[in-house]
Amino acid sequence: MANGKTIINDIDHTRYDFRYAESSEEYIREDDGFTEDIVKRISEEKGDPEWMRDFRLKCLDLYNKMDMPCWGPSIEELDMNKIASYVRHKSDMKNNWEDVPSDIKETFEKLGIPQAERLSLAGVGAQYDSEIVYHNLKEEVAKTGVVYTDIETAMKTGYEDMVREHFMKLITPADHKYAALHGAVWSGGSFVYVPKGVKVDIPLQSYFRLNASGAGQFEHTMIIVDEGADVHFIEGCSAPKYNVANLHAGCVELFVRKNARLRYSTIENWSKNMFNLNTKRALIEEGGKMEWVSGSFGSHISYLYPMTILKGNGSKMTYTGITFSGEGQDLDTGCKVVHSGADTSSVITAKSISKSGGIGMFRSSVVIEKKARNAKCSVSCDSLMLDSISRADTVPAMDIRAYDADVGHEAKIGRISDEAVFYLMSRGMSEEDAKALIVSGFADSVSKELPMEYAVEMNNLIKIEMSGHKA
Amino acid sequence: MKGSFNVNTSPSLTFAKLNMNGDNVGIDTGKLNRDNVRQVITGGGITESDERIVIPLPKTDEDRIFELAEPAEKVMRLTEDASIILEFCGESAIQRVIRVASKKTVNVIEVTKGCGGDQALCSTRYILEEGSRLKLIRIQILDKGTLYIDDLKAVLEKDSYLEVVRIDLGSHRSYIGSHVLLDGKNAEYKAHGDYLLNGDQRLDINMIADHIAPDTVSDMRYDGVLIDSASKLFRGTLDFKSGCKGAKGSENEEVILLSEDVINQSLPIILCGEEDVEGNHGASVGKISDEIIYYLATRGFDEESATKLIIRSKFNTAVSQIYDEKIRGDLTRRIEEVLK
Repeated sequence: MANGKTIINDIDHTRYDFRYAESSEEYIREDDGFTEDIVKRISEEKGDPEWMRDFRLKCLDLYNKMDMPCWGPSIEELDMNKIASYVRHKSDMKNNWEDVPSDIKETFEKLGIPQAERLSLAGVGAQYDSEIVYHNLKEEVAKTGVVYTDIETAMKTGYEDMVREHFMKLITPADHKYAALHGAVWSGGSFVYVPKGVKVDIPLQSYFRLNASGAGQFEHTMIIVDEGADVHFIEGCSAPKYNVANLHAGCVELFVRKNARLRYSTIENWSKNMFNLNTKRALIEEGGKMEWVSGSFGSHISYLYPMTILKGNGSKMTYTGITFSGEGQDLDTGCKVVHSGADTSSVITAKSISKSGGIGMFRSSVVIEKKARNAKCSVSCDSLMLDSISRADTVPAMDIRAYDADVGHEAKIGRISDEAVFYLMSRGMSEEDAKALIVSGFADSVSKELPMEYAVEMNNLIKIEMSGHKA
Repeated sequence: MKGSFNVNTSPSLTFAKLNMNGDNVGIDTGKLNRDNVRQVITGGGITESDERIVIPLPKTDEDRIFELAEPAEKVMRLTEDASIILEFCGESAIQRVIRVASKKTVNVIEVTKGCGGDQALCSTRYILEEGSRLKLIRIQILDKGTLYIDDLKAVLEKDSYLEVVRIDLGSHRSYIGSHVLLDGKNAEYKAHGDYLLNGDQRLDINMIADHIAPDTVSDMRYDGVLIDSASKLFRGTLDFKSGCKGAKGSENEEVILLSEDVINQSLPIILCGEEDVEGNHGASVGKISDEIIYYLATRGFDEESATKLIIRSKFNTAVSQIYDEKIRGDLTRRIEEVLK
């Protein structure tokens, strides 16, 4: 075997790192910081009903009173007085790509969103900075009663009661400081309702682009999958890189009714100046199934732990996630599950790759309540260290209060096995190809869960280039 | 002086809402009397000294407790096997430093018992000199009304080997903390703990192995049984520091839950700042599998007998390592009492 070390390159972010200047003639931009006046102006701008305006102000008050999280990576360098809470193009949301302003349209074309819509999606939502700029749902899907729009439109088109019943009920503003902030300044996002028994065969996708420098994106996604219904929702996100901090503090609330199924796939590729403090939570009723597929590649600092509450008897959850931490990245990711109903089950499979000084942290919590009889949970996390200047940590917590629970956990941290490389080389592969194959295989359990075109996208993102340099 | 201390804190924190990062415990250091603890050591090769030992670790709340407690102090250097009876006759604290001489192999069996009061505190620093080997069996059978804090720290020099076997049966609330520094190349640390908790006993464990030098090995295992409304929190941390090339560490846990009101919490952590290492963790938590019960039923055991048989077998590995017949018999009797 050759001496020296194979170099695995960082993820190539250049495809996502382009930008358009936002002029004050075309864009509305709120002042930096988070004050009562700003929150009132956002509420007025969006034409909120009174309950929502009051809710926003209560959330702001809570945000100002709450402490920063004490257990994760430091976010002290995030100066909240230098973040604009609201930026939007002056044009309204469109249902036709041709009507979208040219700079925004070009952005999404470069990202391949209109092409993906034509080829493989049932519906698309595209958010640019603080507002949805495009939303469309295929006619045949709309005919089944599926609703796919932004939250603001949903509130104005007969779904206000449904929104009010569910909005920030699963992720409450008291949950943590940035959930409270989200409640105060949220804007945009998606509202999906899938009626009873409707199975949407091809996925819906929302894409979030934060183009503005020094701004925050606070979209709210609410998906209600009614009894026996089935849908796959894909979320993508990216931003150009700036020298100042950007903030993403979205919320995703998912309601999976009796015997329904929801697959929620995310490919996150924020730029490396982004603080990604996103919160996702799902409530699963009897016999329902939640499937999370998550790829985290971007951001400077991430706090991201999709949480599932298995409330109904026989409900299930799977989480399959991969995190790639490169230079300047501290990605704190994982998942949480609460088993509340009887005969519930969860399977958590997490992978992480760390290199070039990147920090990858897998953090999870499994809570099995006393009433969750015969609950089953399996947690597996594997971390791959590609050099000795990086970090790979795992902090999995388990709190089990049901005596008949069956919980298994395993974690592994290590480098690429010399034995595996040797075996592949003995079958005729070069060392570089052998290592590339092993790293690709490491990520395979996640990529195989994605639709073909997204799996290809993820493999492009990883962009493992085995150059064979000697270290 | 009564104070609140955050003991058994984890080196890396989990979500604050889980309340697993450490435990707040009230200690009245004013009630501690150094004359209330008696240490009887039998065995040869013991040299006592007043040497000051400083372990290179940040100060913890446990250190603060012992500073305030003004404990009985012992510094010993061992060259031969020893047996230690540590008996608390009232509320007390003891602080010890035990050195194992270079290239010596030493077996130590230690029984901690008694109390007759609320608080029993023990802090021990072990220094394993180059090439030394220490097998330490620690059995804790304190009165069930006792709050017990056991703070173990160890430094392992080059080629040294530390094996700790511990069985915890007594006390009402136990805080078992150990922090082992694998400081010398090829140093090896093996720990195996067993517990059997019933009533409302609580066991709070915080085991940390810092891999500092290359080619160091650690293997930590904690197994136990929870009955009635007993609860246990296991924190285990493997910390691979940058530069510990070739290090291998594993931590494992098997917990059997036998009653509806038990609580089991686990926080197995791996921290890794070095590429060339292998770190593993495995945990299995639940009731005794139906397959095993069924198998034993086919061999004539009813469910209760089968359960007791399995629990006894879990302790056999540890108990069989106790060479002192009297201690072994006493321990077996106590296990049987719980199983009644």
